[in-house]
Amino acid sequence: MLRKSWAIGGVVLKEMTRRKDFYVLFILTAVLTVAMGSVNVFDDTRMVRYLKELCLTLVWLAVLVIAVTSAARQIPAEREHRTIFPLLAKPVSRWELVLGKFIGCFLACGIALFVFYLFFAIISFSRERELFLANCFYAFLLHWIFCAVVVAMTLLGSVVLSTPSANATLCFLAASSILFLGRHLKQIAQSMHEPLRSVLQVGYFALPHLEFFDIRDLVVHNHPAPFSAGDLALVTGYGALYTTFFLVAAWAVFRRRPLSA
Amino acid sequence: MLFGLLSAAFTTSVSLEPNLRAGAKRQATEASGLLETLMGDSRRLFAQHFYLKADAYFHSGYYPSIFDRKAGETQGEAVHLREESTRSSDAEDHHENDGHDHSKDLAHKSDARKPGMEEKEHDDEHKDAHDHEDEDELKFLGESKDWIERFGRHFFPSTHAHLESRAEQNEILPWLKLSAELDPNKVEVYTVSAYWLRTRLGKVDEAEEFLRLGWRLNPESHQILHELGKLFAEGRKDPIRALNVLELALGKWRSTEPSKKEPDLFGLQQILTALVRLDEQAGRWSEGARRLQLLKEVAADPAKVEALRLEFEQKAKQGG
Repeated sequence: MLRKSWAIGGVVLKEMTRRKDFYVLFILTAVLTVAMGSVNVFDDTRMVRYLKELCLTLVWLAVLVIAVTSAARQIPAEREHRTIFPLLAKPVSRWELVLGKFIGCFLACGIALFVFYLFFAIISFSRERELFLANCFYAFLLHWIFCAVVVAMTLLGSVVLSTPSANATLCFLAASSILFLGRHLKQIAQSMHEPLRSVLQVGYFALPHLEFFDIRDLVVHNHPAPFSAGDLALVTGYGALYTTFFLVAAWAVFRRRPLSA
Repeated sequence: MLFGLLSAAFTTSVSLEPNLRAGAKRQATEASGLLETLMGDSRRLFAQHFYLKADAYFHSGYYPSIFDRKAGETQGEAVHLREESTRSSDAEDHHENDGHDHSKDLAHKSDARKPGMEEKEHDDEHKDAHDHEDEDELKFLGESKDWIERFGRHFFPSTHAHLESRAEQNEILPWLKLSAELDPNKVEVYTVSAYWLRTRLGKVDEAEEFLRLGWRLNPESHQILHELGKLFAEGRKDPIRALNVLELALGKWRSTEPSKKEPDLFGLQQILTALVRLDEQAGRWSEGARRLQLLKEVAADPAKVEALRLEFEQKAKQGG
């Protein structure tokens, strides 16, 4: 079963390398970062944290766009081009197809992240003259797990919603909202009236807390990672749990949907 | 013919040059006007955001969000950069006012050194009081209420810290500069930035340049003039220029503040205290006593100020 999924994932990865999304976003990130790095701030070139923050913000934006747009078009594109029929006739089960698409997008995000974080490390080192390698590694790892959850969520959206653009927009909004508000949802709920208060409180416990995977502030301010190996394993398991949930939900919806668009 | 062409080219370039220069200037003005037109008043929102960003950087990322602030507390009140700059000025000179809490701690505002008190004792007392207040104000996280909150605190800065080394303190400057560019009328940005540039980073020239830029854009600001006066007094060691600038600051205060519903008494205390310090250094006891009389009217502890004023008068009489 995994062999077929890996094969599908490989095809997705090759398709991603042919598309311009990653290259355009990477060049944009690099140009903006280098431009901001050349800004004169009171004739001092030693400032680096603002640059790290800008770079990481751009990396997060870019990879979120890559993850959502790549996952959003996978299954709808197969249905639209009618390539889904020969694919499922191979035979490849619907679960293998969903898993394969996920693996492809997940690996593509991983490669993109590796390149982005390598660029970030180079920029950091060139200004700070020291590299907090552990922080960079944890940031990369947690970001990749974040991508797994987002890709899985988007794949679910792609089989539920009618158009890839609507799916991409909703998933982008959902991921951004959870990132910014997830930690404060309970506080927001306190200021609301019923039934919205209950809805938000349920959402606080039910939704995936994507902000767990965002350690930009720790990286920017050079804090030593305050989490243990156990915490890292827990958050990885947390991400894997939601990823599995979204993938299983996507498969459950997909197996009941007609194949023609 | 060649000579004719050369003459024509020279004449054309000479006649076009002023127009091109004027066009470039107009473009620059239009560009900044364009930014203002496009962004409108949202520039000020961003300016305030970036100013708070500088404060967040000062605390190495440990900072309350808008959801963490207490009810009734606005964003502008939680700016410890300004308070740190005022607190540090107090530690440098005991006649300086304490800006940490306007309403509660007026005794510090025109604090004269207590007779017999050693400098270090006063510094330590001052520092302890501020650290305690800082900790209270920044305990915004509180106890975690559930496992999600408890677990989530591992992934962002959740301990209170200040930037200590010079290299680290540099890091707040880009946000201050950006804030000033977005809202040139935000006077506080110029004074706080100039303080950090001058005292922590040793960049007196840059501090003066930035203050002068702020003064050009806010000509009626007594706060900027006060900071400029301190720069001349402490940074350039030029008491005469400092005196002139501080007197100008006092004049600006008198022309702008009394008509307001809540005049900036703290600003007045700061200006008068700085002037008194200069009078003390120069031995102008009579002048200093006169200023202390003015200071007494707005001080929270007039008795202390009166004691100092009598001391000045005594010295003036002895001087003859």
